[in-house]
Amino acid sequence: MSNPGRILIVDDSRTIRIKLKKSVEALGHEAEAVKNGRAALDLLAAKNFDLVLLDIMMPGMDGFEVLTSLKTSSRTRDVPVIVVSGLDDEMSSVVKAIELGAEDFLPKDFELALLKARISTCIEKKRLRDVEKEYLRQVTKLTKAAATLESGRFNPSKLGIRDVAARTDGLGKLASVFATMAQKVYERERKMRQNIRTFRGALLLLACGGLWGLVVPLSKMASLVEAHPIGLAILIDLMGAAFCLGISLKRGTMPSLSALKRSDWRFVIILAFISSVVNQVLVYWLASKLPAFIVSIVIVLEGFAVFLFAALMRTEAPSMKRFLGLGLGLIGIVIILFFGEPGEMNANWLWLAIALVIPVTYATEDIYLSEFKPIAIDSVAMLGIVLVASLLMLIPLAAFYGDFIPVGLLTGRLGIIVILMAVAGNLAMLLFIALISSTGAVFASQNAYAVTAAGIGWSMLLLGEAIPALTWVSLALIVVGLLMVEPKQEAEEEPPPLDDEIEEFVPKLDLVPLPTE
Amino acid sequence: MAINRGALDKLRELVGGEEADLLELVESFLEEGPSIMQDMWSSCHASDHAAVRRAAHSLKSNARDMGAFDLSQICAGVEARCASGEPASLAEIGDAQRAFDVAITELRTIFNLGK
Repeated sequence: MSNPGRILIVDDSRTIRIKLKKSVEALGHEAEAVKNGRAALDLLAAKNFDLVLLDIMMPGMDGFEVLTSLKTSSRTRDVPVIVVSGLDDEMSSVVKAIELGAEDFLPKDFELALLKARISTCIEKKRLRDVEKEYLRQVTKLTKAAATLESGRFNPSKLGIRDVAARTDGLGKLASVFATMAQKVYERERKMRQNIRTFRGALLLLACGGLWGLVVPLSKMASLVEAHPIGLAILIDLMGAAFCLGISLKRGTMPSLSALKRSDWRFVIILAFISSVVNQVLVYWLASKLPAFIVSIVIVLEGFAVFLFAALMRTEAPSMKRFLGLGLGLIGIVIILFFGEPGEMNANWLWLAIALVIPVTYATEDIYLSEFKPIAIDSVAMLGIVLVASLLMLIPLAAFYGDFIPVGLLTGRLGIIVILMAVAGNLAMLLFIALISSTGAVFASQNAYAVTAAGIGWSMLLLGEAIPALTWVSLALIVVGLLMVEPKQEAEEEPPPLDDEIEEFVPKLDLVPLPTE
Repeated sequence: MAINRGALDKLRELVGGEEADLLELVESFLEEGPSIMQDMWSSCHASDHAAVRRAAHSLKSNARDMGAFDLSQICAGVEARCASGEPASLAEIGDAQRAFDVAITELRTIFNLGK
């Protein structure tokens, strides 16, 4: 049987149903038989049939009613119907049935050859009609896809023309061309969006580093007036807290404190401790003991430390090249440590060794921020709360060490320096939270480059510090080392994964015909 | 002979040539036939001519398949009379009953089927 079909037999006589079913099956078709019109309509609504052999004279719903109902439903309209009737006495019924849409008729005492011919013809016609309908359906899909492309949406998986592109005819080729075009444009757009993201990240990074770089020479300048690292931190955090909380209250982004979870409070307290109490005070304190450019250079190690932490936490695979880079950076620091500016450095090597704690605590802060920052809380509001927590820790400390800045000093040069530090430091912190949230800790830690570069620049500009030649060499070593560590590659965003549909789709693009001459 | 053997051969060929399939059809007729006959009687008594016509129509086709041409012819007469609007005659249905009884008896004999 070259073209077997599924045939539904409808007859009230059981014997005739058996006869028709066996005859149809003997011809190689599949058959189901029901004894009345209602059962026939139910089955036709549930299953697909290629042909119905329908008796006219049945109790209840007769063949005409079944036929009328079939032809009014879009689902069954195209299923051909052969009415089974006696030739002798029912000619008028046959005519009526054909007028109602029956395809043909079959006498009750049919010959096998006639049954075979009628069924084959009907199924053949049905198949052709099915092909035609499918073609029209796919043309409609392609037209919709064209409209989608025209509206500027190029995601190939959203075009819904995979089945059309699988065709080997002209329509299939057209669909493939559409899909290929869409894929190319989509890829290009995706890359462009990624470049914009990277560019935006880099700008944010430079801005953040530039501002932070200003903090070290400014704190050096502040210490030149009078060194009060804890007092300085208190004033800066106070201004930052007022600014952040004010903005949050105005924007209505301030969370209700009772709504904060235990884990949120833990985050606030730990970040306040690392960021303000340890990092800030350490930097301000060391700035009073070391040249600002030296502190800035040490900060560059933050990138190494983050990488080292990331490697230890097994978030990335360590490689020999990266460890060499790490070693090179350390050599750079050792050069500064032992062969720095004679006189000044010899007295300060101990301070320098202490300064090496800064990149480690900075890196701890980076990793902690990127791993534990509560997503639900607005960044500005969160920083505000963190700064208040810092103040609560710093004030008793300042009282203990008697490190408050005398009010009288603030009216002069120191006041301006404190304001500048508060603006630069807090703004840098806000930018850094934004950066770390969107690009991750490793990428964000590269702001250490910018901090260092800006720190050296600002130190020369604001403090007139002369940088010894050997320091430039060590700085070059550190930069080369950092490049070998390649933190940026780690931080680059993964392209959004292609969904399965596209991957399945790609091989089909081979269907695209080569342009003919 | 009430049963035309040629008609049975044709029916066997139609359902694929297997004797078992033919037997299944004959058994189905022997089972279904009496109830159709019964329908014809009761519908006639109830003067439901449409139902008499349907029963006669059904028995006519089945009888022709089984080679019971006499029965088929009588049923065709009943069907035609009802179709033309005349009431079915009890005498005609009595003829059908007799032809039916002869036919099923002969079918049982041919296929060795007990009562």
